[in-house]
Amino acid sequence: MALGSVILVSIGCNNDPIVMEPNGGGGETIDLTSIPYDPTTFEVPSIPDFLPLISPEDNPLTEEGIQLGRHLFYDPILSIDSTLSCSSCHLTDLAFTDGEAVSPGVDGILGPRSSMSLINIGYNYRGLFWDGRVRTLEEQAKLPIEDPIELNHTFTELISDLQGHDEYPRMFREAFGINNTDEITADLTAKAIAQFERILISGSNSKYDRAINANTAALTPLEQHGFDLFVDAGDEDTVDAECSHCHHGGLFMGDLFFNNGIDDTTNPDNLLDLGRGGVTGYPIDMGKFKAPTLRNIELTAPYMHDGRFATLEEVIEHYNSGGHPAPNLDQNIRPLNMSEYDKEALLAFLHTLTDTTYLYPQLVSNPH
Amino acid sequence: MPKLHRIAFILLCLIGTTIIGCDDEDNDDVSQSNTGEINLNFTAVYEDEPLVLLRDYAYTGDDIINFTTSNFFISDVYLTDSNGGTTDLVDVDFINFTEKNVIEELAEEPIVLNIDNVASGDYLSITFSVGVNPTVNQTQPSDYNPDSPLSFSSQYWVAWDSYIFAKFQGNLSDPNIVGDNVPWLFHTGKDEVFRTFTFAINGSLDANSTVDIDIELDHKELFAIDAGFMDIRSKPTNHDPNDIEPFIIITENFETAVTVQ
Repeated sequence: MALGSVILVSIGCNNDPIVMEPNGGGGETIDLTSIPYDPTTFEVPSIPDFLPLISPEDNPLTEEGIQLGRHLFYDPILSIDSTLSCSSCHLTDLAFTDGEAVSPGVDGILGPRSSMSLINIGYNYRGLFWDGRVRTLEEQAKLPIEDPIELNHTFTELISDLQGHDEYPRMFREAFGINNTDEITADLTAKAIAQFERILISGSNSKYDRAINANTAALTPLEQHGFDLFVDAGDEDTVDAECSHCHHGGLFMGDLFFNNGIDDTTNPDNLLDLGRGGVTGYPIDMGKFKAPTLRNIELTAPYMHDGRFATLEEVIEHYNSGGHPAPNLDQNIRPLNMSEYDKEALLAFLHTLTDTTYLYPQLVSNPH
Repeated sequence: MPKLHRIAFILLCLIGTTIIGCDDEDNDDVSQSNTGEINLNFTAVYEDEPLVLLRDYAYTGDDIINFTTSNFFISDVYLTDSNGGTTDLVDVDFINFTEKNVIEELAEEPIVLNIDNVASGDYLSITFSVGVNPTVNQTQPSDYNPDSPLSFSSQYWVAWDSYIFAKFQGNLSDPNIVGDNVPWLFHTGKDEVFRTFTFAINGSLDANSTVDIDIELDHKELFAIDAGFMDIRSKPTNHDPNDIEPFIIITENFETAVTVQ
């Protein structure tokens, strides 16, 4: 195509003509400036006991950004062979986990870790992934795309695909005000996905919330006993199950990393997964992992970073046992001597954290 | 606290915080040309050695001790000058050796709180509190933006309705006994445990200069009691809000465990 030639095309639902120009790199640069850029600010109300939802200054929530992120999240265009998307390992019905012990990437290659729930992930300000290797969703959203055991794509190819797509150039324009398709970047792709992830909010309709925050339900005596065990709020005869040391606040999520005794980390060389220690290299961090949110924990089996426990009963039994020894074993991990009734109560309480509704149900589903 | 009351209370706190965040009224007329900077440099030691997490130190008898966690809130930090006037430095901050004292090289480096725009003058003492004052302690992590240390939900204990003022955790063992290990944990909190300490500094801050105030915390001294040290082996943890004596001992020991230069 001769330099300077102009092609008029129609993109998506917008019928305004769009100017396409060669970009000198073999592809075609499409001028998008005829598409209106007027993003609508998206406000998230405060949720009782949740921290404020804060977006980075350079990536505020907008309706257009969220919609773009939603489309990308569910689109297998993100994987090298167009077979997998983010949603392949983060299923809506499973609180955005996948029900597998460890998650398969392209070609069925199994990774070492279990898919983490994305519920309320926007409130996680202190390290993402099981090992906390990134701090922001904008950083996080990029990594699975190029991870060879996940989507195994390259941003060079992905961006080229997005630039030539029928719909995405318009959506990037509407979300971020880009002037032409050359301005579609990995950063903007990640920003859009991050915006979508931030509105995956669930936190006001569980039995726990209705009982504790809204006073529209009541915990049963069994559930209440489980709560007392969980937060050490019972009388002196109530066992302190030590749960809320690591799963705290309204999110029931840790903002730290813990060695919870699932492996003997006396010799890190024997560890299959160093966890946080693999990021920092420090002895104190070997075998430590993020304490994930317990909201919807009933839906996110199997459990732990490698899905080693099939049921919550197994998880409770692990903590009741005190786990394996380790130099950096958290001091709250110790034999608890819970009775069968205690264990039953703890399980009942954990079930009160189930909430299958979302704050924005119309935005959560697959748009494709 | 009812929600509306809590919101009103938080607003009052935020107003108060805003006032505290600026120079206090003694310094309202201080121009920037008459100010300098102060670095509060916090280091953790065990007796004369840098405190390194997981490192063994002699405790009492044959027992050795290590630390896996050490952190605390510091609040209401101010200087007192030779005229008795005060200059506020820090509202609330979080001194977290757990993330820094992971290896010796890092343990020797201080945690630095830099405060600029401090009025120049002759200062006699520095005062700070360990924990958060009862007013702040009526708030919760969800009341704060995530960039505030008060938003750390790991530092709040629902069952006490209190921030956890300080966390010290580790292990105690007798190397002569195979397999001996006593995990210990002291998380302090509650209004009754809030304590304020004043240390002499006798220094001058000149305009456009920076003064370092070194604050060293000896972790062994935290457990001093009577002429010896706490019997961690027999009482290695305490979560009972009705038995706060260990919390008070540890907190009041900041008076002797801290050295300010």
